Amino acid sequence: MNDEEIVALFWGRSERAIEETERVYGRYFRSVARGILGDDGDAEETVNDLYLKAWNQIPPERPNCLKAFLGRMLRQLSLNRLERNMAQKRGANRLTAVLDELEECVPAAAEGSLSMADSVALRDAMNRFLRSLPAEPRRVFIRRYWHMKAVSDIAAELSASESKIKSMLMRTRGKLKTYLEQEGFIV
Amino acid sequence: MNGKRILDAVGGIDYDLIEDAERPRRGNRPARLAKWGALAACLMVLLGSAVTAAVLRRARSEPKARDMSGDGAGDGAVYTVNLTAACVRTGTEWKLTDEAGYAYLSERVVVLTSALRASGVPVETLSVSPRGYAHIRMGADGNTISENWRDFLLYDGNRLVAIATLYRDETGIFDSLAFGAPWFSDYADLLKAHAGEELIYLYIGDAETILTPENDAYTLAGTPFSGLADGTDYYSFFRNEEVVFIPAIVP
Repeated sequence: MNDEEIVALFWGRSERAIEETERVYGRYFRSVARGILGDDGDAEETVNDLYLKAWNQIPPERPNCLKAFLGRMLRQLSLNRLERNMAQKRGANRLTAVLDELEECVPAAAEGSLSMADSVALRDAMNRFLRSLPAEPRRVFIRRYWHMKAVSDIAAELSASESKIKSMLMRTRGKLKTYLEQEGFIV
Repeated sequence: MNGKRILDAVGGIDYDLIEDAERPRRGNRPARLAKWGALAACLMVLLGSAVTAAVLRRARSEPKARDMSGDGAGDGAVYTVNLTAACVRTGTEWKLTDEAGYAYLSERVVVLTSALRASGVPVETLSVSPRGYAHIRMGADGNTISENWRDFLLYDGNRLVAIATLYRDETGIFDSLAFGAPWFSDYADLLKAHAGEELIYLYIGDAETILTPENDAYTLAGTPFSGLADGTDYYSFFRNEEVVFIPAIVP
């Protein structure tokens, strides 16, 4: 069953919508949630939360790409759960480590026009920035900051050393900061 | 929290970028390992007992995996305790010394101060600890000391305000600051409590711990980490002059 047919089930308020979503994408969603949360139980609950949220949002939404629509929603639900679970220990919590790293990308204060509170503009800039990168650093950046994977996991997946991944991320963060400054974003 | 805004922006990127990043790396690593495994088997037959003995010795010293998630280190991952192999030094060609790192940061005190203030960290007079510490990692793929990575502590008076991580390669030295976290004051208190001691900064997987000469281990928030409390002398195994760091005795 394709996305259009599954969305039609949601619009028809058929419970098969959830069954079909689970059948087509359940394994993928669990993998994404597990990657962010690092816990099977939390991942399972978050995917269930996702289906409930999808039921409540479709309709009125009619997404063209269900995987993308629900994938983004799932990431946010996972991050929300991670925040709730947050411990006060650096390194023991991947969200804290990731936020610490991304603080480096915040452009220095300057006379400018666009505020980082302008989330649409910032998202568009992020897309342009990522598309300007060579494939490998782009993929590493996304695995770290979209999928929230640990550096060690990324290194293992790409058969690279952790040192190489860390240095690649550091350089990309520096480039992102420069890019945002050039685009006129301010704190 | 501006890092959060960037994290949110990443969350909204086009999905084709996400799917591109999810693609597995080309090349079938398990197949390559299987190929070499078959070759090793042939060598065993050809070379006889000497090779067999070497393989058996390696098998006996396989790293033991232990779930340290309950010890406050992490998030349910299993970390490998491996004391059978010495630390492999990486990045030696671009080794960062205390002198080079201290000089790099000292030249940039004004810029670093401005950056911290702009990020909301109050700083009057920034000082750089003259001695940094290397990153030692205990991981599933062995133990490593990254000689081209080094952390330095940045103080404002006796208050720890940031940790500067320096990395060096053929293009130069790069820096990144960690600051503003709620655990900083706890970390500073931990270092004060062990001022003058030769501590080791150890990554166990991705969990960062401080190890004392008495083999007491702590998270950076100062809470005890019991994952290494099994009577093994980890400190002696990992200690060497280049990796120990001695927190300054501050008033």
